Amino acid sequence: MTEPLLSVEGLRTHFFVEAGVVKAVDGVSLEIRRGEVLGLVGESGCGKTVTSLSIAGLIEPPGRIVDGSVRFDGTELVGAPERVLNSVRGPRIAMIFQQPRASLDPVMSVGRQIGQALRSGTGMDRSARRRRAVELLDQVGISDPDRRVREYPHQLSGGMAQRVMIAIALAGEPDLLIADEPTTALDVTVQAQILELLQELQTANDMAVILVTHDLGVVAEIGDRAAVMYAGRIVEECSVSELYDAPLHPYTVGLMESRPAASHSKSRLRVIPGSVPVPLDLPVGCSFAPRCEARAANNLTVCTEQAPQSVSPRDGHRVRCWLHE
Amino acid sequence: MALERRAAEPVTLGERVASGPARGRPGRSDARAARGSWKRFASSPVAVVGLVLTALFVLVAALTSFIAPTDPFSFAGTPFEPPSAKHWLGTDDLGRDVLAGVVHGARTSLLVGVAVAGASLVIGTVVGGVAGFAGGKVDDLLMRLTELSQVLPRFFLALTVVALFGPGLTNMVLVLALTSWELTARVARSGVLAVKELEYVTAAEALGSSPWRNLRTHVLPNTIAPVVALASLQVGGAILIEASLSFLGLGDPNVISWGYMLNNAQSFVRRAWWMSVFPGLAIAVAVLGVNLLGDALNDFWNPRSRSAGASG
Repeated sequence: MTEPLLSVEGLRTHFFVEAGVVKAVDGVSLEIRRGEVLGLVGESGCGKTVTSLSIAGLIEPPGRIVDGSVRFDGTELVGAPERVLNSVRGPRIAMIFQQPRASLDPVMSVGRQIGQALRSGTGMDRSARRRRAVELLDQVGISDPDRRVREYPHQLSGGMAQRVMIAIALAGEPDLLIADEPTTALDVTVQAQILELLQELQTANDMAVILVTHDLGVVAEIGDRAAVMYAGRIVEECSVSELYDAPLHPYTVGLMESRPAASHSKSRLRVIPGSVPVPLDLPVGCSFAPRCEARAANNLTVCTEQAPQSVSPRDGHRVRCWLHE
Repeated sequence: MALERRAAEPVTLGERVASGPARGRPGRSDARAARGSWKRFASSPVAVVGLVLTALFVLVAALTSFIAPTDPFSFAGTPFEPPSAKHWLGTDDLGRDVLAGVVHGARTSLLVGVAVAGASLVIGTVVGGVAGFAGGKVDDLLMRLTELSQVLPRFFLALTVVALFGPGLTNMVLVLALTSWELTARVARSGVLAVKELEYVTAAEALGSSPWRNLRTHVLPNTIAPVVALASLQVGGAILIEASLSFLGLGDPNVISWGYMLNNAQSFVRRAWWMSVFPGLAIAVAVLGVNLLGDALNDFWNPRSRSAGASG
């Protein structure tokens, strides 16, 4: 098997605030190969965004990566000087965010913003950059790109702004695209279009994508593999088909069951009892234990005493749960 | 076409989220938006009066050689001639034309005002921008420096410098410039502090923009509007201080200025009212004009006052 494009090992990102230490990411390991789409799934506050920001080296005080490694194509990014990170971000790793409109500079035309991204690395002159910007806009499905290239972010709709963001991200022809909730702020119909576009571009450019989302439907749509996060850890990692057909972790099972399904629309939706633990005060042992129905049913005491290790009961399927030790 | 454009720009939540200084500048290029901005600006009487007075001031300063081609220091007639067809604003105690003095004085005042405000804009933006963007120790150091400059009494410092190094326009501009940047620095810093947290700055960073390029291309352009408005208000202040110093006889003796004319006129207030009234009026009109314009720019670029007015 080939070397993975990105491998994250034991990543811990903590935030040192007045009230204590928030362990937003607490031992995340994941791998992604070239051309693969990994869905990073979880509830709000489980550490998805902090994980992706950590990979891109964008954690700012009071946050700090306290432990672990992020290796991208043979280069260690944790602790790398800003110069190295700047040469990786853009041409190698690009990132798009949840609020497309807020991610665009309001006083700069669309063309100039794409041009900015083209400047780093490529030796294109102004007119070449302008032509490439129009090409990119065309590629992300924006009609009348010659006109749009001169427009400002306030003149774009949300979906169009996200397309522009994607065009900017693609400008550097990155090997890895980190998309942090790229469709959450958009209308449902636009969501589908953006996902389709992402998938199209992913295939065309053979790009690896980390898709951060709380929406299991999105993962099912374009993901190859999925990693489920809970309270700063990845509790289960497997192929998308296994996620749907044979989830192992009780949390994942709960998530799958709490989705509305067309087949049994009359029955009430199941919910996972309790709520996400406060990251300042994580329970000892498995952080899902207090909410875990499987633990209660099997009367396991080890769950509240010791944190489970990641095990692999099936090939390509990893889970962190005492039930599967 | 027009309909399509309109449909493409609803005011959505995303726009409201990106509030603060970032929204403070209408960075539009197409003619329709520019016309809209102009309409909004011109709808305020303060703006119109300020613009007209400032334009008058600048025009007079620019067209000096057409309006009054003679040297303001040369003798143009007999002393103490009241305003007449030949000397519109009369002559002074040495027979010099008051109109020539007022017109040439405009040039001096404008030069001092613009030079000081420009220097304040540049120094303030650099110091405040770097302080806000770098944060930490750099911020502390630069802000203490700013406070130090803030507690220096400008007028007396200017007096001392002129007394020590001799009167001269350059000295005056230098000392005023070096003592007037602290406010612009504070405004620039607070703007940068707000903007650097916004998502598009992080987004640019995520795409490989270095911190300094980020500051130059994204943060400063989004904070500069209130700083420019403030600097334009400082034009008036600088004109007043220059006039005051010249009035006290500490101006450049080789350059005509309104303060110098007033100084000269004070012994003849009863005998020749025109010698003091016209330069005094000129100071009042010029300072009022640039201050009103500065106020109007401030209101125009202030996102809070913008939402209260017409938003579309």
